[in-house]
Amino acid sequence: MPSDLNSDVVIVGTGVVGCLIAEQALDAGFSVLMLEAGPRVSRDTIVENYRNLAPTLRNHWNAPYPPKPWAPHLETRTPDEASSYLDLTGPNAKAYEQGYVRYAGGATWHWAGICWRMTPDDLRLKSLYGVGRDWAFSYDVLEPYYARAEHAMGVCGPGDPALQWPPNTARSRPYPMGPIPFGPGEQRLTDVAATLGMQNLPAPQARNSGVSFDGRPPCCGNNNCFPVCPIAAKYDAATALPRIEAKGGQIITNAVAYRVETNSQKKVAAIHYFDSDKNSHSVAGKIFVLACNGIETPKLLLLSADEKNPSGVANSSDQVGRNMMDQPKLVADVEMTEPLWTGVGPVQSSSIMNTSQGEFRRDYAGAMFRMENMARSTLGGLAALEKGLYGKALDQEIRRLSACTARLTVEHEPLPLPFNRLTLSDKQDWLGLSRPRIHYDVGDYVRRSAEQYTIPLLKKLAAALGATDIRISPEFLHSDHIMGGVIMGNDPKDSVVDVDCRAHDHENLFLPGGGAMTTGGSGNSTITMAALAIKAADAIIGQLHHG
Amino acid sequence: MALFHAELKINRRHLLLGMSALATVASFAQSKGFAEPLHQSDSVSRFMSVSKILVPHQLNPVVGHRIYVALNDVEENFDNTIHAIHNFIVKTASVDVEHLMPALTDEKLQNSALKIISAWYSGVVHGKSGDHVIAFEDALMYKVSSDVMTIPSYAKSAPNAWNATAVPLLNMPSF
Repeated sequence: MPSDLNSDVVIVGTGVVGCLIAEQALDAGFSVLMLEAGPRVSRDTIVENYRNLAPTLRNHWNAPYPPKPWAPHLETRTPDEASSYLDLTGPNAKAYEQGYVRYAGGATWHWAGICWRMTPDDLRLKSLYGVGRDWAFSYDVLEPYYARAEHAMGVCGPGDPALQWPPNTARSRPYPMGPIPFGPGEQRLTDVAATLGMQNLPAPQARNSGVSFDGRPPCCGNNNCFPVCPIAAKYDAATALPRIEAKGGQIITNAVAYRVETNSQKKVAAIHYFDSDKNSHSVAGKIFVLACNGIETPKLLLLSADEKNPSGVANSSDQVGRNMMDQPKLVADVEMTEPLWTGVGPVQSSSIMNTSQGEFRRDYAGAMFRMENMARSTLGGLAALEKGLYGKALDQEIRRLSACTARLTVEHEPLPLPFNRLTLSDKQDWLGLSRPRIHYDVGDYVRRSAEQYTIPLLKKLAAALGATDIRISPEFLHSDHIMGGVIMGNDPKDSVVDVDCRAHDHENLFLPGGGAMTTGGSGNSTITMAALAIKAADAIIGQLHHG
Repeated sequence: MALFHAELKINRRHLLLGMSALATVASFAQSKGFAEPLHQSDSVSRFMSVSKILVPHQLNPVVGHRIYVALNDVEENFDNTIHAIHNFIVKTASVDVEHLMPALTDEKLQNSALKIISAWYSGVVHGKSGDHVIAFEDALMYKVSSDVMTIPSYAKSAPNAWNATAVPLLNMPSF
């Protein structure tokens, strides 16, 4: 079938990974076409959607993003809604309720903006501690790409090497902006944690700090980074889309990729997609990039199984869809006698990272600890009203609950485990495409960490903060850092992509992003995804120049 | 010339604000409540009088009108309930909610009073067929901590102008 469209580079997905690659390819003089499954929605519409939610729904980050029928994503307002797209199984299914948005701009709409690099040790788990896998390259190889990603996205962070992460490690460039100041809650946590040997660091974050950057304004502490930054002070890919178009890139929305077609030379020849009227189209190209996140990318590869690729495209290793990772999360809601006052500044602005490193990783997972910095006035208000209070007592209780409560969070480093697997569900979506089925078990490495290390430490931290009450979540939750499904490695027999995120099986197919990450570390995944995207873009441009 | 441009900008801004205000008034006038006959307005006035005792703060009449319409929609005989609470306030000469609520022993009236308080503070009225979201930035629960916390999605600070000072709980803002 002849293709409707043609481009040097065809990119599926308009999140941070797709946008970084698109811009780099356009800047190098190549044509780019991007396919986005969902619609393009303006920031003010999303902000209004958020403000018009009932207060009980405002902590459902997906609620301001109603999906289109042809591009479903997780919705969580009711249990029925929560099971209507992702088909989750296994002992920790709840820990894989991944939130992402199938809108132009992708999950960057409601990401926290936090940009912790992985450390040199994070990339060598197997050789240092005998667990997981080693990455195919060292930190020194990744470092320049981290720096480029930090400048592309506008990451602010501290200049003092002792406060950077990894600490006291050579950087090829400083952060483009200095750190965002702490509010009272984060300062108190920093002071208290220090007494326990836990160092609460100012988070490197893709949020403009004190100055405009890249045409976006400085953060004014609107404290709404998720579900949406109302002023675009936080990087989101939506701000990159007009620039991509101005450079000549073409973006087709409401275009659901459903098949990757390969030819007899084992190259990808075209991507087939449905429009919102269920009409099929195709687009041909020289290089193809699937950057539609760690769930949709392996799903699309498996959906593309045919006679030439009986287990799915890029899947001669049988690793497509395996090794699904996220940082299994526990939360502790604490109440104190003294005011802590979270909610001043961004919703996340610091984390304790030194708890993620150490020899103990032979036995159990490292972890990142954090205090959420969200304004707790909505929660405090609703909880005080629940008590049937009125008058001065009501005002005092709302103020007390807003100031004297907090949520502590711990996110555990996952291992790549082949049994944590995405397959095609027998349940279908609106277009008749198989939904993703994901089996998830956090594994003994994480469970041991929670029992022996993180929960005891969480309790110590809460006590040091003066907590009079602590309620720890009864099960592991998701951190929304989707990693693993198209794992990177040197050996085509046990990995899907090479060091440039190029599919081992198809030389013109790239699968960059979280799916390619060999291990996950304890920190948020986006800056590593972005670094891998830029590394892949270099390889793509080199490949186009030479052939 | 520069001055002319500045004036033009200001005038244009005022014009836009004026148009926006007119549009708001027109929209409000077309809404169910505002177009109601006079006795309905009396009901709203009575609701506001009751609200002023139940919620001892500055109350936005536009928000009050919307709360009244929403509660009238979800509560059976809401006007009668307001009448009863109003009469009780007059009969007992209650001057504040602290005295009124313990004296208001009728469970139905007490529940309705709490629903009115909840609507003013949370900005939402819950109904069987769904939620009526009345207000966001005018929800009173945000005023109680407005000296420290922003209303999420709004800014109360210049860039990086916040600090780590923890203010005392007892410094309750007045609103």
